[in-house]
Amino acid sequence: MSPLLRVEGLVKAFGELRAVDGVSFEVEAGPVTCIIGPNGAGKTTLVNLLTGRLLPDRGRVLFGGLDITWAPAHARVRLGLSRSFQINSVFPQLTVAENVAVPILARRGQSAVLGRPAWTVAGLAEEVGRVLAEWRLEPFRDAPASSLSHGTQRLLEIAIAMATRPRLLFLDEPTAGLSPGEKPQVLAELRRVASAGETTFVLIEHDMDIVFSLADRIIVMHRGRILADGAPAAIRDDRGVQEVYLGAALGAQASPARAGEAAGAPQLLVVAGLNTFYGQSHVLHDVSLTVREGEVVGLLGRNGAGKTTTLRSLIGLTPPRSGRVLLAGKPIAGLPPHAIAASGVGYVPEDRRIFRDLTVTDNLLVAQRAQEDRAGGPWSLDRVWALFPDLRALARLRGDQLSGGQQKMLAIARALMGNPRLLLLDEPSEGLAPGVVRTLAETLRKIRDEGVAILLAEQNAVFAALVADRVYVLENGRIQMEESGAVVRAHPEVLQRYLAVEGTRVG
Amino acid sequence: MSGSAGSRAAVGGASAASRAWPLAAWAVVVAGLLLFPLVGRGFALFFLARIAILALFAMGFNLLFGYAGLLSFGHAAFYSAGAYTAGFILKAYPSLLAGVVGGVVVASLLGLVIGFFCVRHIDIYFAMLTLAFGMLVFSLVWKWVALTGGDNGFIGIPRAPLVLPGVGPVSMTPIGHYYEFVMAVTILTVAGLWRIVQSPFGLVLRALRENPERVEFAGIPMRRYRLTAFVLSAAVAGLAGTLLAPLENTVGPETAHWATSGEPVLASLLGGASTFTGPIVGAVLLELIKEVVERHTQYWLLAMGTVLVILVLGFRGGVVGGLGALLRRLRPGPTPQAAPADPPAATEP
Repeated sequence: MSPLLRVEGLVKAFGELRAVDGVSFEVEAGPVTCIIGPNGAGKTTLVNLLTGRLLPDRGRVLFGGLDITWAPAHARVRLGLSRSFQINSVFPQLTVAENVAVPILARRGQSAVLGRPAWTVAGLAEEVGRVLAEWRLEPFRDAPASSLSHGTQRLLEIAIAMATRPRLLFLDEPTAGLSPGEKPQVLAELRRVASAGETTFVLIEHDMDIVFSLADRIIVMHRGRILADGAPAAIRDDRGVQEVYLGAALGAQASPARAGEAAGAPQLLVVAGLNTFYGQSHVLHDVSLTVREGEVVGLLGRNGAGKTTTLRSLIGLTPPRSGRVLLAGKPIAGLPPHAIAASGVGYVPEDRRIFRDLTVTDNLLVAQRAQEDRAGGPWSLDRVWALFPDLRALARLRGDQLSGGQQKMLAIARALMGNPRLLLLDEPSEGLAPGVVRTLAETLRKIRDEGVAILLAEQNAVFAALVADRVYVLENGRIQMEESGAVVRAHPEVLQRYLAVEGTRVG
Repeated sequence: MSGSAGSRAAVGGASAASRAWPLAAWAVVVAGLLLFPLVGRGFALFFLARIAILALFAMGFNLLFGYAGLLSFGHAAFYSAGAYTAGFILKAYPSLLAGVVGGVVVASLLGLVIGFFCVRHIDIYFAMLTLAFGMLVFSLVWKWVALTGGDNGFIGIPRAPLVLPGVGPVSMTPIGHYYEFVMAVTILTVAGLWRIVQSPFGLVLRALRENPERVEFAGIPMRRYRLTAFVLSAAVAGLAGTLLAPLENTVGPETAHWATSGEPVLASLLGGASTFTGPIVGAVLLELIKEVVERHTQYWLLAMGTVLVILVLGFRGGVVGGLGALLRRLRPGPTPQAAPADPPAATEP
């Protein structure tokens, strides 16, 4: 018997980036599969290719033995291959019942009926009722979807997908944006439906508790390829996986830390009681932290822990709903991003955002600011070249001709040209080869020694420990612990509870 | 009655009592309109027929805009296609029904062709594309003098008698007779549209407006549904056009002009695009404002613009939407949606 899903050599490139780079695997009916991997590993792109949201450059997709590589999304759904979305994708102004009625009518081939009121279609109300009951949505039946809480919308999101009665269902981060209190509910529903056996689940998930409690099989993706594929126990012991999640391969290389010095330095950034929301979802809960002058502070946590949101809140891109942010004693919370940047905060987002059509030199000059007297004076091209000798050699290349790692360096260098007192770096080591990561660590230490404090968000605990004088661990939008860099370097196991793949209990 | 039974009834439709009232109100309106010739004369009948035609035009447009979420700036193309075709047919073969049916068929076919290209796009691209096709049709009408009479218009269209199976020819020359015909067609079409928006297809259209991608992932080929809605919408706009030709006895190229495409847009916004009856109310208001203000000043567009600015800024749901919200606030009965066991949703920042 042919497998439910068979994927052969799937490739999808966006420009130079091969988001999915030769992926092959099979899914048998029954077992729950989880796809994990760092941000940008290609997980969502893979699901987009399999469900028809994107079309591949190469490769084949067979569903139940049928070649569906080029089939439109709606045809795949009709065959029994469905999906839910990472960001809620419901019909906001329709009632909950109508939201579920749309896929049910489609499946019954009655969505094109013109001549009779929808709710008089035989059996529709009953089936809608069954689906709503199954997902505990009955109390909201006549409420517009937009009035539901984020968590309830999350359930509706899955219920819509389930209402197509799929044989294979891809769930893209079903618990994304849910509070710790809401997750068990979704988890319990999924487990119950999975055990009913009519639908085979494939989940993309970052929450390791959920992964290990649900998965019969785990596929680990990294840079568009499958890094590991097997039973949870085997994945937990896989060295390659540990490297991806922990950066273990780097080896602990002691940083000439200045923690002792910094401890006495004045506080540059003081954050107190920060609460940030995306729409209705409460992402940051009372986040408080400090960065001293001349200090590198690491903000650690898994994907979705709230690291990026913290940085975005600080620079003003996602203004916090409450809380205080002081930069050198002056409040900056609520200011527009350009004002915060002008007061001395540099921000390097994870996706770099360099000017692709400008040369390296022009990228830097665009960002240059004449500056009042601050330690070391204003940054100039020469000063940047001294710090990033590799960039100097590339000075005349266009931004889009640089590799990912070079673009990352350029983005950091460009932020420096704005003469920041504090640099916010989002996942600087992400997607960099180990050798480049080491250079980056050295460069960051040099920047610190030039008098610029750094707050860096990292999934890579080993990298953060390497450069940070102090680290905070974020989990589910809350600061869970604070530890000096020296302690973390000496006893990396203190972080395991929050970050490691291993050490996560099943249950 | 228990709470859950109540909510079940609400899903199946309103309860019998709450359903009877709107039905009675509609019956009164329909009877009033059909009996109006007993008291009304000449111009009043002509004026009401014109309102009915604009209302139909706007209802057709709003099936696409208010329900499927596609803003067309080119519906004059279908309106004029209906009008000209009816004119050609009536002049060659004096049967009212033939003119109307022929006009609707041609407008629908035009809708199929134009829609085929337009429904691949949404938002501003869709609007611009429909505008472009609309202008294309206008220049055809303007330049193809041999067929359309160019800027003189197509003149001398007879109000041909109505022949129905079993019914002998009914003369349409008296305005009272033609008025009844226009009203009957309008009322039947509005009833048909009501059926459509309540149907599964209508539900899919509203879902398309909300989230087209999710419709696709519910297993529905969304473009085909959009195209169907486009053709239906064009057919109704064309029907409005076919009624215009015998009423005015001429069809001018301005029926294809983009300013004419703007009229259903205005009527829908004025009345409330998110409501079923909004376009009808908007059509009444639009024609009234035009008529009243035109008597006092030639700057009726100025008054129109002012009203529209006030409505858009102050009454986002149009007249019908605004009144509905007002009524709900004045009459604190059972709230339409109770969301038990869930804290009130936080408002978007």
